[in-house]
Amino acid sequence: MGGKSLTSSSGSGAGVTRWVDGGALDAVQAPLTPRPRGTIYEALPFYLQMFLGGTRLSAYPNSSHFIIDGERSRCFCIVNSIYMREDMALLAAIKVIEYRDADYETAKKEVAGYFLMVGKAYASDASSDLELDYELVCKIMDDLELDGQMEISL
Amino acid sequence: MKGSEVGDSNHGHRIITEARKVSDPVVIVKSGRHKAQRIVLTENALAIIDRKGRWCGQ
Repeated sequence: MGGKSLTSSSGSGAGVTRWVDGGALDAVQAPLTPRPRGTIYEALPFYLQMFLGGTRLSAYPNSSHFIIDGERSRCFCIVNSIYMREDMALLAAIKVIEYRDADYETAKKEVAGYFLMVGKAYASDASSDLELDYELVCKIMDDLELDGQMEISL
Repeated sequence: MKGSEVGDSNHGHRIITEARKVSDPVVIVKSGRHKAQRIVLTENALAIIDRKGRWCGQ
């Protein structure tokens, strides 16, 4: 018996892969289920069914087919992870800022401490870093300027 | 609130803008060498010229 070699044919169905043993086709020629196309989100139900359902493994005639299909799905996952990384980069660009409910005196101490620490900063940076309302930060900066503790410029 | 008429403009080093929808940036050619980016804000758009503070207290 010669060594096994892998052949692929796309005549019937989508990409039938089978083992050839000594030139003759293997007795079991089960076509593999085509991989889902599209983004990882579209393919997620497929993988959930594959990993959680447990019925997918019984579709393979032997372990070799399972390994071939696993390699194919691994390539598919790598390609889709690239798309998923781009989507995550888009999501990471959107930062949600929630303002805290702080009274004026508390906010004034925090703003003064912030500018004491960083020295020079924009009001918007202070607002986002301290999670305070922008209008409140501007009002506090005006008051600090009147007190002679801050210089405001454009 | 100042400058809510059509055609009013702001110019500053740093402008804080808020809106319901923000478009993707588009590169516009200002001159042969200089390029800039433009975004369009729609629905309740607001622009504030940011101020820089420098601590000079105790």
